[in-house]
Amino acid sequence: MNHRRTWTGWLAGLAALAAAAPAGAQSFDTMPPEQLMQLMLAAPRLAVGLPVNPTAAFDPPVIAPGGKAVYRVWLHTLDEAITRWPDKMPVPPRLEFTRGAEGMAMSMAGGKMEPLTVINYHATATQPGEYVIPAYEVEVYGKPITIPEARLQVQAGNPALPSARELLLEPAKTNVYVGESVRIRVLNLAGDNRVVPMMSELHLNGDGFITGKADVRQQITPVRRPDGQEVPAFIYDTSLTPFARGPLKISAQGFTSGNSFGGGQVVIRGGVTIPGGPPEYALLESEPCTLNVKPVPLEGRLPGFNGAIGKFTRDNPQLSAGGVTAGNPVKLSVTFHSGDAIAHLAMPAAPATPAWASYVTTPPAPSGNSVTFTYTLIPQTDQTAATPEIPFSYFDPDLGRYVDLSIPAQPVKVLPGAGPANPPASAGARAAAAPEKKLSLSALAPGPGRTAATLRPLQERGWFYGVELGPLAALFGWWLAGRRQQYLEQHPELMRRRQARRAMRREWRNVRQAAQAGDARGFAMSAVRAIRLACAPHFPAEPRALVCGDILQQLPVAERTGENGEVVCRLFRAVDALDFAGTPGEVADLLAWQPQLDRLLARLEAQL
Amino acid sequence: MSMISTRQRFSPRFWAGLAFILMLAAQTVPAGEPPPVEQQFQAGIAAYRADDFSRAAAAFQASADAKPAAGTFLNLGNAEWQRGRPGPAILAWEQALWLWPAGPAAANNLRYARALGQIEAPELAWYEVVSAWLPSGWWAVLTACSLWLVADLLLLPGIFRRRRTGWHQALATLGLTLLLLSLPAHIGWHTRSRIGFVLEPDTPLRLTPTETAQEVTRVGAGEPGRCERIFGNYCYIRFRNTAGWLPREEFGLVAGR
Repeated sequence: MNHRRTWTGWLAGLAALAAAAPAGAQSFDTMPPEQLMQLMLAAPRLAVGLPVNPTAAFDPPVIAPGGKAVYRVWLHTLDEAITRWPDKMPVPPRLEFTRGAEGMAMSMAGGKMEPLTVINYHATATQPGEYVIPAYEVEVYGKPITIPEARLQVQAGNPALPSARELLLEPAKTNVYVGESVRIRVLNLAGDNRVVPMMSELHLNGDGFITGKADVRQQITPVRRPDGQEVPAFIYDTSLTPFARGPLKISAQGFTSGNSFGGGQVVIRGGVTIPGGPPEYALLESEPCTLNVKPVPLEGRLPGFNGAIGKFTRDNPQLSAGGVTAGNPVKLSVTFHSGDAIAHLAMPAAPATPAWASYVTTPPAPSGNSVTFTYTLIPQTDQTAATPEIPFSYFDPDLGRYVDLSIPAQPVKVLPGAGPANPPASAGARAAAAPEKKLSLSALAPGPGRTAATLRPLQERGWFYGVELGPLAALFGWWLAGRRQQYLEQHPELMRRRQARRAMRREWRNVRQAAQAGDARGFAMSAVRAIRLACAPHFPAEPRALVCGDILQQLPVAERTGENGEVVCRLFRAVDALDFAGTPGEVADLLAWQPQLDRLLARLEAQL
Repeated sequence: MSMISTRQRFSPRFWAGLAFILMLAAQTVPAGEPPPVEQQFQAGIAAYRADDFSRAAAAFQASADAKPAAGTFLNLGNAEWQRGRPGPAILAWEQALWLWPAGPAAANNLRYARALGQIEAPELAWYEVVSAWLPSGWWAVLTACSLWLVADLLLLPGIFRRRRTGWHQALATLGLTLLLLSLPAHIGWHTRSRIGFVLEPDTPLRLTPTETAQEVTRVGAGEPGRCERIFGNYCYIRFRNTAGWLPREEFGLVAGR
């Protein structure tokens, strides 16, 4: 959390410095890193951890029935610190309440910047009476904060009661084209007392447009109110360029900042009263207005149109010299004039012609309402008498059509020079007059030559890597198998044990099958074979050669006389009786010994 | 005779011989050029000699579409150049070099056209320069051979239980060197396949991949660029000093579409 606050503090400090920077100041983009670091260190820190001090009030506190008031909540914290806000406000009946704007301002106090977040609600009531918004809780940084109650009086019979203060939004025109620059004014009219509070943090709300930050003009000048009275007003004048078609809804909001002038220059005309004392920081907003934005028509588009919209004029182009040697450069300068649209004017592209090579320098920033473009042109031949025409056209929104403003060809005398000269009109003819004798177009190939199935290289195809690496993987597998075989040859006991384990399991399965079938003879024979197979690798010996004593040797001494030893002895006795005496003997009741036999075989398998 | 077992009849020598014969057969099978391709090629030459460059270009283009060949692309470039279309000509010569980097005629024509039209050649990274020394398939063969050489010399003595000798290790080192040298070339071929050339003169470069987009600037025919992204029918092309969107039909990739 502390890191986040420190970070936000830096950003807020930088933002304040950026706002306070004069128009001609160096931008952050061009500032060297060390200078930027110094600026960051010098930036005032953000005051965090201060009491939130929530306040709430209606503005104005008394209105006439049907009048408008603004319910405003002030919180001394960052807007992002508000972690919970009620979805539904505790509004008394018969009071219409809608959500308004929200904004954050920074004020300087004690060398630190204090954040102040303001949230507006619009309120109106038609019935006289007193309306109370009771205290309620919100959360700031996860901690509960109580917003105090606020009261609104609605009094009948007093039409002179003021309504809520609000901003006025005045676009120069409401039917515009995509890409057209439009002036728009935000006005804060003074009241009857002619007091004009300054405004800060003014900006336009909405989507689908950009505003011109560089051409903002602020002034306090007398304007005529709708009731005919002339009062001073704070005017924030900027340009707006829509980039999306369709209806565009725009509103404005800003903070009153008392006598603090904020950023930029303010021109004051006429008698004005500017309030003293600490600023109030009331968040004012305007009613939204709608611009109808149309796309530029595709019909009638002229050559050289590069997106320029507005009204443009052009001075006569100027050549740096009246004569030039072929291969040497000559500069062509041309100045365009316009209003606000000049900032968006892109440099017309010079066409490539065989007779002229053209290069453009980085277009300069517009100076006032004009911009000068400079082309470097190099004649490639002395057979030309004029610079190439540079096509340019713009769309005039007032006329609703495209206007041609191409840069005409300028007469120039081109003298023969050392550079590439006299290229004929067609490329083929030019080949005959190639500048370098060593270079010329080659003769035709007599046959197709080297062919390929496709131009797509092998490296672009997935199977290529599979083909390259697949056999390698197979070879590596072969090598691994060889290594394994060598290892087993050096350790034959491993192979014997593995084979014995496999054979023993097979016999074990036979034992279970014989037990299920009630075949006592098969049970005994398979059990003895399984025991012999499990013990044979330990000697090593042929399994059939093992007798009961050999098997018992493989058991721990304690087990030889225990359950396992008894199982082994009984099984071998039974099988010996079958083999040598031909009598079933004790075979019949051996089936009951299957659990003990399973434990014995598991024990022997574990030894393998 | 009857005593000869199946194992003896199909000994490893027999299988190796069969594989060799099949390989030779694969090499000696005609290159798969159907007669129309050759006819189109010859028709192109005849039209070129009759100064009918448009018909020649169409014939060479049809022949190249059916069977890409270095000589066909060289002639296509010549025909396009004679028609006054430097963009497609440069693309065709670059494609001729793409198939056969050692071809002197295409390289000469490119130098000639670029000197005459003041057109830049593509800027290549070092591994792209290396990749241009040999055709794509040759690098693949070199990689495969060196890889097999290294793998064989490292693994086969173990498999056949022979002792590794000094020459085994020397050859393995040589193979490993060739293998490592060939890897950057593969990267070069991969990145070079994004290179292309503007086909028409004074082509508007767009800010966005839309029909009514604002122009960033205009680029000349034959200007080299790299296709970095494709969106619908538009490619985002980075040129030496600028970047923007071009319709795919206005930018010819050297590796084709």
